[in-house]
Amino acid sequence: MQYSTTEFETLYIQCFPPAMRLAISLLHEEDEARDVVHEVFLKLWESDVKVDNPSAYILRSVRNTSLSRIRKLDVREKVKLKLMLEPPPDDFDYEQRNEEVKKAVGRLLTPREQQVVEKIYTEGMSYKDAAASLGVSVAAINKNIVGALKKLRTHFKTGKS
Amino acid sequence: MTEEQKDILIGKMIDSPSSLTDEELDMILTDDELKDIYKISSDVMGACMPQPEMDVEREWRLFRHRILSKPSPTRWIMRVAAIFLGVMLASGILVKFTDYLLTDENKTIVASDAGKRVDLNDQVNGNNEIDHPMKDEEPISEMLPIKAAIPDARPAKTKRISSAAKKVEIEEEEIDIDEYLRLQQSEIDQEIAVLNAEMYLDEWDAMREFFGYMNGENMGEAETNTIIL
Repeated sequence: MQYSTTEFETLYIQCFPPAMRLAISLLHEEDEARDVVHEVFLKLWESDVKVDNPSAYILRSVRNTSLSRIRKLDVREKVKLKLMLEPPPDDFDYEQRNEEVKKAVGRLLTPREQQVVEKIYTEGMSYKDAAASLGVSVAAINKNIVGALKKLRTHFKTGKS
Repeated sequence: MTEEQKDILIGKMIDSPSSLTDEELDMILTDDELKDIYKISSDVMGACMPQPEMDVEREWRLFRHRILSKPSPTRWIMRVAAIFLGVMLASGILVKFTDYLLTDENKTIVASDAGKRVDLNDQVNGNNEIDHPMKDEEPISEMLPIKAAIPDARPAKTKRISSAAKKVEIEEEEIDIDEYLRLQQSEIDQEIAVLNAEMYLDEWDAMREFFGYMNGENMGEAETNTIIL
């Protein structure tokens, strides 16, 4: 073990929230996300190898452990796994990325698109439920989502809106 | 792939991904725009999904209990080492104790054996008033071939020295148990041979009395020789 209990407590309190958010975003389940995060912290606690950047190590390990669990899940998650095989760089800041996406959603999308995004992504509704909730057709929901995602893609790919 | 087809795939990708066929999955994975949109969709989900209420202090207390109650690998190694040393120590004590017990038995046997031998030799050589053909011969124990064939079964540690010095000497000697048992067996065989010889002498005396040899009445020289043979 390379950390004292006090040092590890500081690291845990600093890294647990972003690690949990990352795990939940990948696994969509709080208990399983907590299990993954604890597993990663436990490995770090028992490790005798010195880790240069413990925060980056924890987030990278949470991501890899989550993806290895996704491998056992359904087709959607298998797609996610294939799309995420290319790992982000060690200094990738998940918190910063989330902030950027939130800002882009608020700045680039129309109010209707923002409503649809909130129903689908924040509230976890299906297209059918979102359509019923907003009083529009399922096709309109899909049109808004596709339009929103294409705008965001263009923004993050080119840096333009 | 047309834009309309892509829009339909994006809709299935987000709303009902389990309904995607293998062909549709391959199409998504080979189309850069669809791959990018899927990644963006994941990012939006990560950014917009409600964050759980996290009591970090409580989470730390739970985790702290978990890591402190779980024995570390180092502790396991220490435990195994302690068990190994304990077994080695117990084995050593047991071996020494067994060795000590066997040594005491050996001392007792040799002591009693020495006493008998002395008595027998006295009887045969000097103190016996009976005049028999073997009177002037060497002691029976020395006449027995087994005496010459086997080494002295008494280990060196039975020398007459102080008891404290004996213990030190016993501890210093490492006697192979097989060799020790072999010597003990030889000693016992020798003892049996000596007792047989003693029994023979007693029978000889009884026969001489029975036939009145001491008075020179019935038994002649020829008969005596026959009995001896």
